[in-house]
Amino acid sequence: MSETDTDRTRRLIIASFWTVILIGLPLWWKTTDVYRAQLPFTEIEQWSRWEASNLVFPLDFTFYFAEEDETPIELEQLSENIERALNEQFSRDAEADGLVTQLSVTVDSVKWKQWDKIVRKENEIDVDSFGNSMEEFNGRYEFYIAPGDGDMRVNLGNSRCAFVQINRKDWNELAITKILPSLLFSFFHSEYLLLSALFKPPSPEEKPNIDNMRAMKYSPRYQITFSLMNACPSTLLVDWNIEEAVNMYLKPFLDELKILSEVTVDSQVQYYAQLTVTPEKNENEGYYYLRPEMLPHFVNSAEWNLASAVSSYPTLNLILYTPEANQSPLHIHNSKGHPIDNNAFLIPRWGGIVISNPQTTNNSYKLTVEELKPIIEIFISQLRGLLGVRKFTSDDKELSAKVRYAPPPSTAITAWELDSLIRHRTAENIVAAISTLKSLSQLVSEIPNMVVLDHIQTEVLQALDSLKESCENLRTMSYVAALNHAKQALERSESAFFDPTMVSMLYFPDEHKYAIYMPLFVPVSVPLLIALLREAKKKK
Amino acid sequence: MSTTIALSSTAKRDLILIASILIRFLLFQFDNVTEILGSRVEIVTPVTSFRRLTEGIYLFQNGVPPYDGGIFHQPPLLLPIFAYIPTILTPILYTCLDLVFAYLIQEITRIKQQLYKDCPRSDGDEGEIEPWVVAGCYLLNPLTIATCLSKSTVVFTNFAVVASVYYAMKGNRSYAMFGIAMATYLSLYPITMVALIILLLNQNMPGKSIAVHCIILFIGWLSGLIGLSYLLVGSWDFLSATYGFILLLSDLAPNIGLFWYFFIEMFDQFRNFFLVVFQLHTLIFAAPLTIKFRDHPLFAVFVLGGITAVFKSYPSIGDASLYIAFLPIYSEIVNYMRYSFLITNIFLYSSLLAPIFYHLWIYAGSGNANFFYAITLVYSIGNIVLLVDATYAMLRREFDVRNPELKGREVTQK
Amino acid sequence: MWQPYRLVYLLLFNQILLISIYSAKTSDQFRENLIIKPLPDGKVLTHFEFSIHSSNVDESDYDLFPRSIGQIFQTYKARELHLTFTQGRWNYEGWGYPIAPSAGTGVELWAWLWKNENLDKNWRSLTNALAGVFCASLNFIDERSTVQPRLSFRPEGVYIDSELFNSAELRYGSLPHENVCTENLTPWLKLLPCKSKAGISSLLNSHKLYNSNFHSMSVHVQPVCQQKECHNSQLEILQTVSTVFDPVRESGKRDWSLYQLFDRDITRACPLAIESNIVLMLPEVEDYSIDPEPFSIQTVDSTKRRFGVYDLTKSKTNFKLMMKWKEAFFEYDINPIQPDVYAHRYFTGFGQEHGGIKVNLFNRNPTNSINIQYCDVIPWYLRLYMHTLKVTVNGNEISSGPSYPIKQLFYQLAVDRSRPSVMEANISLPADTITTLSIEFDKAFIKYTEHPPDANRGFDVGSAVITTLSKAESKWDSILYQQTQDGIYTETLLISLPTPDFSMPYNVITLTCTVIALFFGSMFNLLTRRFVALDSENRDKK
Repeated sequence: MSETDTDRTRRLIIASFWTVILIGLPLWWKTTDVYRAQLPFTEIEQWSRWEASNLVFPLDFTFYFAEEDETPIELEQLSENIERALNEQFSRDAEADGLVTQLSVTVDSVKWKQWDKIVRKENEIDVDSFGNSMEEFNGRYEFYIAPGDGDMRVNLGNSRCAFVQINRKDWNELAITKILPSLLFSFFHSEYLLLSALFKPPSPEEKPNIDNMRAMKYSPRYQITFSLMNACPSTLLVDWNIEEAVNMYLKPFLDELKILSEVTVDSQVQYYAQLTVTPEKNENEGYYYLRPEMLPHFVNSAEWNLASAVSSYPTLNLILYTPEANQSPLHIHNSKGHPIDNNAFLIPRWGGIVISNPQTTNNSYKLTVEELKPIIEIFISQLRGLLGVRKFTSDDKELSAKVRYAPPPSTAITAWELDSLIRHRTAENIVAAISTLKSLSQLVSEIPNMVVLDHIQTEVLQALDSLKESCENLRTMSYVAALNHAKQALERSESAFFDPTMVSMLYFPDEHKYAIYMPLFVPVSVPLLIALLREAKKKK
Repeated sequence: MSTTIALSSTAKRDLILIASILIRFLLFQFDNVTEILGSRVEIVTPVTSFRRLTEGIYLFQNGVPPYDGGIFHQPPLLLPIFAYIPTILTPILYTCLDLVFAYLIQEITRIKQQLYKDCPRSDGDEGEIEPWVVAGCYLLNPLTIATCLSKSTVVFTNFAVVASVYYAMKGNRSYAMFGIAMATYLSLYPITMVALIILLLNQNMPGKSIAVHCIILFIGWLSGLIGLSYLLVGSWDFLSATYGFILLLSDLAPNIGLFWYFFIEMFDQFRNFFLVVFQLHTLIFAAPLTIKFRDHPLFAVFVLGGITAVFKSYPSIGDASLYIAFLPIYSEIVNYMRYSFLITNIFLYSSLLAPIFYHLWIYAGSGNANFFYAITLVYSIGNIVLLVDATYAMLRREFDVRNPELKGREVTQK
Repeated sequence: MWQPYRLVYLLLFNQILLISIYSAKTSDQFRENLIIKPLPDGKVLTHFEFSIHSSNVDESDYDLFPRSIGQIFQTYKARELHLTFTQGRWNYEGWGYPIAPSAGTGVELWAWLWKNENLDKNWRSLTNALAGVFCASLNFIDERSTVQPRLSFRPEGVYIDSELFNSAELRYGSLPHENVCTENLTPWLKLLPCKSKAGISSLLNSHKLYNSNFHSMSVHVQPVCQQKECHNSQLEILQTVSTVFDPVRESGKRDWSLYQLFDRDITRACPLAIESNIVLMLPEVEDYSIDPEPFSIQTVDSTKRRFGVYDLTKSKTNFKLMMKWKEAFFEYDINPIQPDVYAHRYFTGFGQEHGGIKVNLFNRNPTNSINIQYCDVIPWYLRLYMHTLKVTVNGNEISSGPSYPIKQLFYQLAVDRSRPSVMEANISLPADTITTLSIEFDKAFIKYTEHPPDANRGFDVGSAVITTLSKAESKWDSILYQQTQDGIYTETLLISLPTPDFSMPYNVITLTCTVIALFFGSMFNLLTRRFVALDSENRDKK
């Protein structure tokens, strides 16, 4: 009986040792593991394998035909015919393949007796007064078609309507069904090309798109800095009334772009801002000039205080440079050796520079708001290029129509251009968000030691939700909402990817872990295991 | 012819008593001695340093919360004790604590000898030790004297443990539980001895549902002490500054233990894990020892005290003096111990070399930390060998007592 | 005190004040001054001051005011900002008081930030942004080394008295180990309107500047008032460079010229400055000659010091200045001048375990007792024992009573690895005494990974700051508050902490684990195995 007593004691003792060790095991797990929240890898994989065919950029066209008693147009089958022809033409285009087009057409007729008078005029037609501004929004365009003599001509307005004059001999349903689709195709084809290029991986033989290389990457906020560079204030001190000028001339443009990005503007004056290149002198005409190969080295980043200390958003630097007295007047030559007109050049993805030669004999000069107007106009055109605004034109050289444009609005961007930019940026954001999420999931799965906290998981899930919403919005043609969701998706995916907590414990080789665990646990576990095995054997 | 002066045992006892009082009294007069001993890392630790206690009292009296920073890590109830005792009485307090401790251990020996006098004895036994010899061993132990002179607050913990054991052997439940609750409140590690105290109580005054009653008493006393501390200090900061500090090893000051150098050199990723491992190791032996030595709970107190003294986070020689005080009570196992010579030498060497190597590292600059670390390892091994050997001796003696015919060599098996 | 120097500006300032009141422009104003002072021990102190006043504080249009500083100041809601880079130690006993307010070695940054819920985040972003602008490692001033002194570093701008402390909080951080070099000077120069191309700033040549005995460069941004009524406050950025050169070291004589000191001449004046002066403090003894003669000489009534002023806006050609002394070689004055209040601080004790800090505060004024605020920030790894704080006056210990010098004591406990300890005291120094404060500490043992790569160099402890408050300027109305304070800095200290053996991590793990395993194995076996007699086993085997 004392035997069983001691046996029971022994079993109790071994059990108590093992209980404590079993309590310790989860603590070991908790204290040494790397916290990794679960990321939705499969969903991200699905999105990244997704082709452009799932994205649609629907457009809606309304054609208003002038009602004339002589040659009335049959409106009944016209809309379906035009629609079918339009969709066929787009889908036939092999280059823009993969992108599903969803173009809808409505036709209506308008009784406009006055059109006779207007059509005969050769002067400007105020197209914008035709439009019904209550009904127009991004994606919906109105065309006013009227018959006339002479070649086909198109007048594009600044808001979303245009006037097309077709020759009377083509004023019948059949001819219209051929003419209108090819007209629309020529205008919207280039945009579709660019959109589908976003979804295809870049091929090496492809020629780089100059527009893409010039424009800045999308950011929900931009910072524009206007800098006045005085080369030598001792001889010529220049000042400017930039704030008023910006409020008057630039603000409308920036307000228009508010849907797309927030832009903050600040300005500074730099003195003794000298160049690193030496301009050459044209002896005959007595001016100094810069050759095109000198231009990349124009900006003296070391000495000119251009960097922003507080902002992490992309900065666009717009510089107005006034040369010193012994280097003025300063002009820029083109490749043929003639001075260019507006004395300005653009640095892709960085900003723009205008060289100004103030005409004065005094030592100091102040640029007034009126004098700054042309300079700001040059800056605006540079900004349009930097922000990715594309001119809305027809790319069909053989189009036998004259295209005329309404005079540019004070906002410096027409509704057509803004719409196309919004669509392009939405697509760009969606693609960027997906690729960021894919990189994130690849990184996390390849490096098992990387910490993934809860808030990263939340952000990834929110980014995926925003992507879904954005695509839904695209389908229903609410482009502004789609843009906002795409913006959010991009912001969230980038914030998850660049989160600083992810880089905590990256490298700890496994051999070192053995050296740390073994000295204690091997000698301790041997007797424990042997005792357990013996007890188990005895039990049997 | 040699004349021997035969002193009676009471005379010897009184002589030892006076000698120990005199030594302490004399040495307390020298401020140098108390200062030097009070700053040696082997004797005081951040949780028991009297200098830090003085700083805590100073901050407390001047309205600065003492637990706000990283300097004071002792329980709050020590603050009023020392704030209101004039400095001149502190040596008397410490000396009295030592003397009462000695008295208590004497009584414990006596009770134990009475309890076990009917048990079978082995042939290899020595005669029963006199209780006052046990007290004398404690009083004249250099470890005890050094701890007393340094005014380390570990004496309070030691006193609480021994008082708890005494009252347990007397059968007084509430006082015994109060003692162990006080010891846990002061040092946290004595919580491993609660079961043993209950066993002692059961041995001396068995009753129904003794375990539940005692545990309730223990929890009650402990919460009372913690609540009182909260009222004194006004916030719960002291919990993380005292118990959190002991468990998480916030201060890596050198001491005679194993933790400090290990955690200075440990990589950050594994720090928490090894803290858990080391603290669990100190606790893991509580249940097995209680089960194995349920007939000899006093011996288990000895072994557990020893384990705590070696493996706690901030050990000092005061903890060693506590458990070594219980060793002479089991004088019967002395003959069965195999390594007494080794143990004595290890203690001697480490006591002499530790201050030297520490000086070489910190003051002379000609040694480095490894010297002192090596001596702490030697000291720990000395303690370990003592504990293992004593356990072996105890078990072997039990075996001999039960099987008196087998006195040849054995092997442990199975 | 250095009060007279401030009065110089007020003198010169007043002349411009008249002009600026009547000019309706609200554009920025830039003033530059160079003050040259020959010191008693043959050295030359040159103090450059560049100040820009800007009226449009919240706008985004920057003219002369540097855009980087303005944007940092506005974005992170700072009310006042002071940043100083110093190399070398200012010798108070040999040179008197400096013109630059801060002279603590390394980098010192303190700012009053508007109170809002992001205040700590703003402070963090502020230090990071300034680190980027000045190429200095200011980003190491994080919440573990930032403190909020209660008595020192009072606001220096012009504020309404009632909202002085309610709406903003102070943050202070310093890096005593920071080296100052050309890569900090270059961005500093880029903040000036004329950069280093024209005017007085063209003298700043880093080769000569960093070859000097003492060098301090600072940026101060604070609100100021132009007119008495202060309808709209302006923002001022004041950039100063203070350098002490030693011509005696090179030639044995005290003679100097601008070209000899800076290796450059002022070739052209800065057209953007409305005021561009060189002020030469004329020594009291008359055996010197200056070429050219000062354009005008002014006197400060209270101290009877004379200043020679050169107005550079009137000088068209290269400006050269030189000073010659009528002696063959320079003889050092054995009796140093002694300013009224200065201090020395040093470590006491030996060994790597304990130590002490002692500060000697000198009050050399024969009749007046002076009230000072003492502020000391000690890192957490020096564990101070406040109960060992001892105060002695001229060697006699004073522990309490009416003659106890410490009138008020604030102490913030250090938290390990979290915040340093801050000791601030309001001390009244009796006349003509040396007051000594001493306190003991224990050195902490820090983790293996917390030691810097050069572990045996040690750690730097920043200067203690002594502030004496002057009376508020009585020029302004009582609703406005402007205070001038003098900061007197002690030395920075270097302390070495005990180091473990850095080559040992796996060895230590193995050895300690072996000891533990030894015990565990033996004890486990004893507890779980039972004894069996050898003989019986042998009998069984048979």
